[in-house]
Amino acid sequence: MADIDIIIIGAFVALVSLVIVELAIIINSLRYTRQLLRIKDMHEAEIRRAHEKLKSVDKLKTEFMNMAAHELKTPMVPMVGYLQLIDKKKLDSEDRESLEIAIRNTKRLQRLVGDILDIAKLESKVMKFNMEEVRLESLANDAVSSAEPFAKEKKIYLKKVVPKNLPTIKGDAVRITQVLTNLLNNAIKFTDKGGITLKASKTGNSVLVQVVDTGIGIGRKDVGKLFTKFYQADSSGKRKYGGTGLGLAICKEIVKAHGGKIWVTSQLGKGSIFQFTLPSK
Amino acid sequence: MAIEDRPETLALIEKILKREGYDFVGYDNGEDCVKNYEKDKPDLILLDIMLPGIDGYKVFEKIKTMNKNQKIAFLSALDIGPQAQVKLFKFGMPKYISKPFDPDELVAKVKELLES
Repeated sequence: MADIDIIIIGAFVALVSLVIVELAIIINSLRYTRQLLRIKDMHEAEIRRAHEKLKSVDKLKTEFMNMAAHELKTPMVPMVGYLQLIDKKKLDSEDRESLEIAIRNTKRLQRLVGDILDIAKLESKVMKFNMEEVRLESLANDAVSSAEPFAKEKKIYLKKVVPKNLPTIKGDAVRITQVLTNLLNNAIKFTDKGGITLKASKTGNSVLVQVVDTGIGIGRKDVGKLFTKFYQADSSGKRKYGGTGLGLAICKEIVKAHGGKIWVTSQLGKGSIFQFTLPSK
Repeated sequence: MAIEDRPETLALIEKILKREGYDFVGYDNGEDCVKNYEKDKPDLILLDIMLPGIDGYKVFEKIKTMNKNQKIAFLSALDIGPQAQVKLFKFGMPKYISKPFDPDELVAKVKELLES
């Protein structure tokens, strides 16, 4: 055999070995790829199962909260209703006073139940928002007309300054009205002379809403804690002004869920400005 | 007419409305309301949503197929979230009175509905 033949055979054997090695690598890679795909499928199925589980837990949580709300409110219907049906004229002054205390406290309990359910739903993300394009002006009208009787009763003014060309916002009309009403009622509660102005203006890509009052104001140490659940500016205030101590915490959660911010600036003895932003559409 | 499964609440609605001089008929379930509808011919139906047997939404549909102009208002302690709003929207957004209600508030809403 000539040297050249040996070289050719050697080269051929080397080539075949190389091909075999390459094939082995390809086969192995395919095997690994298959294994990886299997693992990926397993993981995906696991993630899907976990997601389904989470979804059903979420559904259960929502159902539980809704049922709890319904069951807590149901016995309040005859409680509130029958107490108010009692003919006060037929009672002597002592019984009349007892009845008034019962009615006052039933209403307080009713507000408290409502507020606790709201904050629980907001914090557990069970509260669903009906987001639509809304005009702040019409919500402000609703809030002002529902707060007006209380301002009249205290003989203080209640003004609204909302420009007609304000951009619309994307939000839940019912919940934004709830925030406005809450802030207005709060302002009325803590204002004995002067009054309240509800203002709105455009600021960057947001709408800024301000509730300006000429009330008692809030001390520096209390300002930061006002939006905390059950926090009230001081214990004597709690007795004098009432309230559930949840209103501002609810406002904060609602504004937060809309992608806005809420804060307060205040001067003791001069008044407060509660303000919040909502992204405009 | 009112449909309400809690006897005390049904009696309360009856008391409030009769005091205002309205004729009243009440049922504690949806089936009886549907069965007696043609006989009773109410001007207004106050309808609870969570009822034993057929629920308030079903009662609403059945009554509306018998008389599409019948005035019906829901009266419920359920929270009206977006899902319920979609449902109500399909029904043409009927009036919704939330429980608990003040007697004066109920009377005012009934008057408003009857005059609309």
